[in-house]
Amino acid sequence: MAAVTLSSAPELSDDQLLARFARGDRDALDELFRRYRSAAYRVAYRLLGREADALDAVQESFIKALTHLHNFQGRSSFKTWLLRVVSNASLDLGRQRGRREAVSLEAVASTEPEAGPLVTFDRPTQGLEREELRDLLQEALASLPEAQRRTFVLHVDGELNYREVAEVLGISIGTVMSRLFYARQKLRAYLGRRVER
Amino acid sequence: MNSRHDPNEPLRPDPIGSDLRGLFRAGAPAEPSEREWAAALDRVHRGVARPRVAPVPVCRWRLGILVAASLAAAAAVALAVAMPSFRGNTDQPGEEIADVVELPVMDAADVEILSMDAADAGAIVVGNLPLRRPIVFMEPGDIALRSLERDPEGDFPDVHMHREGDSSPMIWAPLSIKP
Repeated sequence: MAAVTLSSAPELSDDQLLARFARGDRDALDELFRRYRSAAYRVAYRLLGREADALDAVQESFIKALTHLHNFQGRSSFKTWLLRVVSNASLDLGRQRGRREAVSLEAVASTEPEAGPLVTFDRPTQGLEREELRDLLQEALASLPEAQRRTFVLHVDGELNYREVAEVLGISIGTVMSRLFYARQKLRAYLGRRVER
Repeated sequence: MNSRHDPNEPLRPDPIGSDLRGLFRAGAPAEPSEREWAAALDRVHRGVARPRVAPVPVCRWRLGILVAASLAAAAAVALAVAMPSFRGNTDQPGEEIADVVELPVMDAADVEILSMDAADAGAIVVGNLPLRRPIVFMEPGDIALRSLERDPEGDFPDVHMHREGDSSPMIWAPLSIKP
């Protein structure tokens, strides 16, 4: 992607960029895309498990988020709004495509993890290639109920705080904390069998 | 599980929990290439540039015309059905109309009120009035608690029964319960 330089002035806020986008400024869209594409991609990937599907979900979500800005109305940040669309789109896409990867991951997750490569938390890439670690984490995530997985992914991969996750999911902060508590417990239990301490 | 832990290194209480975020960062998915990002951005540009259907505001007078036209059409149909002279020559004069079939001019799905003045709200009645009394699906006496099971996440709720012979249970699951 070509580098985007809107100006040498201080970085524009999301609201300013959205206002420019509304006036037809293509560079504003480029900048919004550059800012949030990575977080959107991580969330979509964690929920879908396939890179191509994740990229599809990201681009569709940007289109949907930007063409439905009247629903956004600035009640939350653009990032929160976008990740809400991303997580919904990812789950929809996963259902539309028959949960291909999710089903296979859940099948894997339902079996006891055994004799796999070990990973250390101190140096996570030691003992595992990054791709293997990524697959292991996908297996662990697949062992969570959908609500916990979505909450955890928005918090950790989407880098949203409790309040923002609550906004995205339309739940209370207490429910976010509860889901994260149980998600962490289950991830510990799953990964603990594979992780060196 | 074998261990590579250095015995001289101080033990941390919960290394897995405290470093879970770091582990997920280390295992983050590989990002698309700049070329793939550029292609995706191009599709986003094309996607947002598609013509959008903007809601068409309906003026009060246009809404009035719509309603008047509907009423006129309905009246014409009613007259045509009810008055033999409107039906043209029949093969057997004087024969009563055997069947009167409703001819729907429009139904609820054909009418969409996009906006109206609040002051006019009381003047519009469309279709049947909504049900205004509560619908009771079941009452306390209809419920009998036979058994309880753990939910899929392993939680087991607390159950308290009413003391005065009422079989209605009160069930709740505190968040602090471990699975």
